[in-house]
Amino acid sequence: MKKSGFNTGLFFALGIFLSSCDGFVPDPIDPRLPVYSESGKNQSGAMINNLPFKDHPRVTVFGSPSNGYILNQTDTTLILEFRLSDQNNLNDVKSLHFSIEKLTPGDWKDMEKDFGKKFSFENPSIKGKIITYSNDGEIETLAESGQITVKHIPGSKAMAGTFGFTAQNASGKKYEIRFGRYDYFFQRL
Amino acid sequence: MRYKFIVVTFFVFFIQIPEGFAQVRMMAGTNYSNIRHDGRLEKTQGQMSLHLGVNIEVVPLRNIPNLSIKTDLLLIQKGYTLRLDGSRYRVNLEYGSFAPMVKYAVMEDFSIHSGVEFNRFMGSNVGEDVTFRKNEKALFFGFDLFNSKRLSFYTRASFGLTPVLDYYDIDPIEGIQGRISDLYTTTIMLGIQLNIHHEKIRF
Repeated sequence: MKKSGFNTGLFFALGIFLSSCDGFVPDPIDPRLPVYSESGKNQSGAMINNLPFKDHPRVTVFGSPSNGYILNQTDTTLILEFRLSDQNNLNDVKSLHFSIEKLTPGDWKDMEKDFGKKFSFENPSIKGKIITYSNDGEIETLAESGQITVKHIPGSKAMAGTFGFTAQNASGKKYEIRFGRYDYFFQRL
Repeated sequence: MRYKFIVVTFFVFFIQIPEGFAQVRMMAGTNYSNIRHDGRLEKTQGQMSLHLGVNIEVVPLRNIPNLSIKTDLLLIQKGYTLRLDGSRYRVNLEYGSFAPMVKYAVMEDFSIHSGVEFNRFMGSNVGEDVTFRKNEKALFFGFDLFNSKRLSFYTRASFGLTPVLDYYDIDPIEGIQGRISDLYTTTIMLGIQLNIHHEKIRF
């Protein structure tokens, strides 16, 4: 029986269409970054040394994997990590990792109010770092100053906020992380 | 609710006119749009886009035939283009527009008009549904050429009276500082009108 190339072509066309679906919603003021949202869009972005880095959902035939996560190991600890890539060079990947410890019930209440609760890196219980990748392995650089704001939106099962900090590693390389924002699905354990 | 009231009032006014000289036209054209803002954005520039719609015009007072009431129903794309790092980022704002106006024929083939646009936000390629205001008001004025002909031309300048953006004031390090309402549209329209109905009608 002669095989029809039409169905194969249609399948590939559908595959290309699905793999090209881009869930990126730009910010109206700086379209290089994702819009600030509070609805569990599974996206984040920041200007890292004045270059736009972002993570946003890309729908593929294999699902829409997210490159970020937020979890609480207990009600006293919150871990956030976002793996961001340079929009002009997708091989340039940097991770931003935050850990917030010694959370109190009052902190959780504050995280649901207004724009959320601000955690400064001057507090020793709050840590932020930028992780860069090279052939030699991972290099972690701790935040020296700055903050991360966490807004918990139980209604939409989301955690959103903003961050910004400066960091400098042992070899003197400086990082300035500005206009950071994130919005990920979060279910409190 | 207020917009429904305005629309209903306008049409009640129309049906109160016992006899009028009415024209119905299709209209289409191009528009150049940009925004005015409080310095929040990097360098912006205008962009070209399209509009399409219909309008109806009546002469309500028989003893003042040069004065008419006209209203446009339009689909119009406004917006702005941001220039960042040498790249251009186009921001499109789509509106359904209801634009009542007063028009005065200075000469047989030249008339001026002015009115208020009531624009209903329909979508954008950036932001979220909650980022842009659902309604925009804009003041406009312009002129028409060759109104008595089947094909006529118009141009109009429109200035937004209400902000279109409701967003957050985000500090580079400190994050959200509060909410902002900003970005006012400026639009220049140029187009042609095709007269599809032109007669004395009874409402």
